[in-house]
Amino acid sequence: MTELNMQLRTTHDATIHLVVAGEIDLAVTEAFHDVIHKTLSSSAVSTLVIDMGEVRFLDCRGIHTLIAGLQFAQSVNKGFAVINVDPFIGHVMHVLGVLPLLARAASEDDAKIAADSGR
Amino acid sequence: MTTISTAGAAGTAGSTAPAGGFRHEAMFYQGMREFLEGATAFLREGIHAGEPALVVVSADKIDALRRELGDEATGVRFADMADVGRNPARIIPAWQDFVDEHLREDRPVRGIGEPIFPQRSAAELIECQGHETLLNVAFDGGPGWRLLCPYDTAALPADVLDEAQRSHAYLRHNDTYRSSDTYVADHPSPARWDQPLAAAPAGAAVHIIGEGAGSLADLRTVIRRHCADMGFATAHTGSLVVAVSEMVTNALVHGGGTATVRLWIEGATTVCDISDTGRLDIQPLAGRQLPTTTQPGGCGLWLANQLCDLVQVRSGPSGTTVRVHLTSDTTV
Repeated sequence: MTELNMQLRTTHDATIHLVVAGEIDLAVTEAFHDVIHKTLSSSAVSTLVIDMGEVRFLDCRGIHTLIAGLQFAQSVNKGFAVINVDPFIGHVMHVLGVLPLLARAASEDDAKIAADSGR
Repeated sequence: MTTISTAGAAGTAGSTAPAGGFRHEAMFYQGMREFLEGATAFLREGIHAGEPALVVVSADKIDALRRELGDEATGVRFADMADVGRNPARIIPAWQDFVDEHLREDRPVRGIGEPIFPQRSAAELIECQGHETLLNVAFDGGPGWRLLCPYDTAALPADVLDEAQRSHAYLRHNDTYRSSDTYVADHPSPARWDQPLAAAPAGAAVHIIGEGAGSLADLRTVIRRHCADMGFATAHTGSLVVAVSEMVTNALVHGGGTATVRLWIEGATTVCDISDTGRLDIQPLAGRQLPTTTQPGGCGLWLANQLCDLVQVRSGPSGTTVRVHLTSDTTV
């Protein structure tokens, strides 16, 4: 079965890291979507950073879940970033034409995170 | 060899093309000299009219055209068909990008594309013929531009030249230009795409994916192991894993919940069939148009086409089969 491990870590005030490990496909899309939306819906959270460093597979639905998360975050005026994307998964995002969208989200939020933490 | 009729009784003969919408023209030529004469005449006409041009042909023809055009080639873009059209389903998106970027209401564009050449495998040829028909679906009714498709009459079989006359509304041969008598304007399903694929070999490895059978994750493990055995580069492995996983996901969601996967090798090519019992009802350009960010539909087929060398889709009353081909010609 598809193995997906998701851990939420508070790094500093109101920024939450979702550390994802494993594979994201049809079997776990809903769980992935729910964690993202629940976290963003919490009034205690201002920015959600999704750390993809340990994700070895991400399908179209998973990519759309990230896009939906980004759009939801924008609609509730919260930060959203996707970091540590594996180069091949980055290539797949590029092929789907969504890399600029997710990369921009990442760089804007990197700046925001840096500013928030006084760096 | 098929005889290419020139100024015949039917069709309008002449040396110039009529103006208007999308003009999909086949140019029949024999040998490099005739190719260069036809192609440079077509390009010069556009250069003098200030029309941007894109030429997608083989590397040796690009070299020859550059030499022939000299300084005039500056305004012409060239791309190697071996890259752009390695999977023929990537050619329409390339033309679409070019047209979107350069075509203006007051300034048409023109292109030369040679997707069909003798080195194409039988499977590639069928998909290329479908591609030629789909060009009409993609661009008919849109803004006017001209696409010339050279066909080498000395090297291609008669049935291929006949099919070219069905998929191209206009035919060129030396100095003559006429409309095709056999052009099929109402865009039926592309040539031979209604025929089932040749059966997978008996020795193919079979994996059943779905409820009570293997999972998508199990199948990806199988594909990764196969790629490792084949000595595939990391990117090739990733491409096959993604393409097969996406096609199986489509089968699970839309095709009745169970997918039968057959995996085999043909020389340096890995071939994988993904079959289900559902009948596919998708628009003809699916997999050839970049999906939008809000609609996940068509993403899998787009990805498979972009990542793999050939993707064949056949659907009928008994179900749907997608056949994915990937050749590992480089190891990184």
